[in-house]
Amino acid sequence: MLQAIDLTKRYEDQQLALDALNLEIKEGEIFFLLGANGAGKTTTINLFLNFIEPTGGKALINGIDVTRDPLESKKYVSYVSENVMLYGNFTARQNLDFFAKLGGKPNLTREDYYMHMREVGLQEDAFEKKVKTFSKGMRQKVGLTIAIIKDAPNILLDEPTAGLDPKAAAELMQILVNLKRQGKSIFMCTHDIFRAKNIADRVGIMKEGRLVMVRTREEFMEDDLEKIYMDYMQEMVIEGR
Amino acid sequence: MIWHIVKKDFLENFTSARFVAGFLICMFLVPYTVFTGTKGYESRIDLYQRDVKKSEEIFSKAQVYAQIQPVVNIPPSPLTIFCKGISDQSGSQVSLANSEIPTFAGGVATIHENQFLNRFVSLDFINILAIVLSLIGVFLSYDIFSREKENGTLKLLLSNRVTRSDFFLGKVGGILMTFVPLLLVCYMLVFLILWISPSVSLTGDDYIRIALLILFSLLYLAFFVFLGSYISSKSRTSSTSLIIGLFIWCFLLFLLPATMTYLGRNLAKSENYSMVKLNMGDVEGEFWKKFEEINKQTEKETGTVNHNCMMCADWNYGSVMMLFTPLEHMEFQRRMHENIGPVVLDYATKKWHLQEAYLNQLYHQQKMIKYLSCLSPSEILKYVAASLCRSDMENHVDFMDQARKYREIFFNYYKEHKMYASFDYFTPQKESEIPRTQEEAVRQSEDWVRNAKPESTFDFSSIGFVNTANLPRFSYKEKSIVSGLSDQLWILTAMVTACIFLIWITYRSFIKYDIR
Repeated sequence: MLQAIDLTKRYEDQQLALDALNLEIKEGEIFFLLGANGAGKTTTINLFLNFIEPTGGKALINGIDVTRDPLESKKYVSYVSENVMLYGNFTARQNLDFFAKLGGKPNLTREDYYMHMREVGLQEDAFEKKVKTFSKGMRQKVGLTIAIIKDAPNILLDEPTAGLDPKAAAELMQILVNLKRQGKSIFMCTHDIFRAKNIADRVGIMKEGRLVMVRTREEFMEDDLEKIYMDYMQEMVIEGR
Repeated sequence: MIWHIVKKDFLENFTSARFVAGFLICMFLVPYTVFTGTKGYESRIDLYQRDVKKSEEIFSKAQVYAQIQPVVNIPPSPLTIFCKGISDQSGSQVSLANSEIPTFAGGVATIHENQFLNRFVSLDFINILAIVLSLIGVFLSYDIFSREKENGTLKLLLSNRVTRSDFFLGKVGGILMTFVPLLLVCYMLVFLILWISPSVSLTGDDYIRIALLILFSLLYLAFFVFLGSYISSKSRTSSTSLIIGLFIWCFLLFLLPATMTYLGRNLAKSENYSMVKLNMGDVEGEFWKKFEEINKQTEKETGTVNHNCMMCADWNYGSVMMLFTPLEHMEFQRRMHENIGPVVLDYATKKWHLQEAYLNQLYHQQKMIKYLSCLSPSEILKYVAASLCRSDMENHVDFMDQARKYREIFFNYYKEHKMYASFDYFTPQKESEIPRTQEEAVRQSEDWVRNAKPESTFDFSSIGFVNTANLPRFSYKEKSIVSGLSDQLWILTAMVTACIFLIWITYRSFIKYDIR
């Protein structure tokens, strides 16, 4: 479970990146955070992973304050970034092995890796290939395999479909649905309204550091999510003028 | 956690193109420099053995004690194969005369057959290490943090139970680990070449020095790794970091030492040696006046005039070898030597005060340049390596001091054993064989010329040689490792402190590093 309580981040240049975010993502829930560039989506993820310190409020992972006990909180979270380059000179096996050890899974066998790779649709013959020869979609799948191997109850994804072709993006969404079925809380920042409509349980829209709207699946299926999102974006453009 | 990161980084660096390129450069340059260094050492050993033989002949073929002006040689150290230091320029031989305390060493200084090649920089193993290791150090560390950030692996890594401190230590440890096999392979290659070279034999002390050299090379390398890491922790992108890293590398290795040498020369100026020689000439002028006084006084005392040697060879400062000369004149010479011998030594000491003042200026200048140029870590490596390889200035100064000390002992032996007052000092003839009259002297001389072959009229070896068995002999004592390193203590401490400081500020900087 992920929780943000009045979570605020103001940078040294006084720019308010996140303004009192209150949010809770339950077990087995997929939450999509939408918003324009610079709206504060990645800042939220950075705060949950304790990459930056909040200037107010707190972020909790499974009830653990990430600022107070960052190492303990990281036991319960996996992360998939926008562009998982990984270590190009290493094979998929070496990458998986390294991150598995860091994730507290030091004794996995080849069969274990194969099983997790199959979960994300990676072929076994990719196991001994150098990652630098992989397409972005394949690298993203290796990134997801790393997250799955860690077996943390919460998964944070930062625009994982950016740059992926539609097929690869659809495969990724299916993997997230499978993970949700296993009871994982999934928090994903994206611009991809189409994917949000397909699989999200709830959707939030961020604007200038504020969470301006949250809709459940039932609500946004009734309303037109695209229109709502575009209306917010339009407002921003007009305000910007 | 740290160990996993160390292993990952070791493997990543070890298989990287830049490391492989650096490794191949080392594999080419190291054998080349060691091979040429070994050849140079073999030439020096050959010359040294010939010089020692000649120096020995000065004792074994001396017919009078006045003839003996010992020549001492510094044995070349096999470790100069690693680092030539000043051994190629400082001279390896010192002639010791009673009339002058030596300022500089002479002998064959450089091994180049073509002396015009002295203009060019001569690379040795340590020079290669100084350039290549530091360059590989910078190349492997300039993007130590920024590469992980740019690849997105930094966030992925830190999303696990890895603290920044663990990550930092793992990364730095990984790079340092990468260099261990490189250094070991380089030194093993050196050992292999030395092993197949018959003229090179290393002692236990040499092996300890080489081990210390390996350790210090690692410290030197660590400096550049920490420097690269610091730049990486302060730069936003890898390309910025690379440009800054290369600029600082060039500055530290080339610009700084050259500038500091120039600055040091101007800050600590030394007198012109021609001026010192002029002043020494004044002292010598005084000596010759004194000589005249003693000559006149001796003439008065003996009632003899200082002339009429039938067959004599002149060296310097009144030292002559006389033969077939009447006892009256021989006695005059004996008294003259007895009186002038200690005076010659006194005037040598007077001249030494001028030489010593000049030498102190040179030492001061050298020290000034040394400490200024030690702002560059490559210079520190070279100084410490030269000290370990017995090719630094301190070793040379120690040799010169030993030579001067030996000179003092040698000529004091003459004084204490009243050798200046003996006939053996200047004539190979026994006292009983010295002609009593002018006629007898002429007869002896004519007999000698008649019996001698024309080409060996002046070869008096058949008369016999003086006994030199009891004369003090020079034995060179090498500086111990501890003594050598204590000379470099200041710069060693500076290097260690710089490394600790760099790693500390890099750590502080990385803790605040923006990983977004």
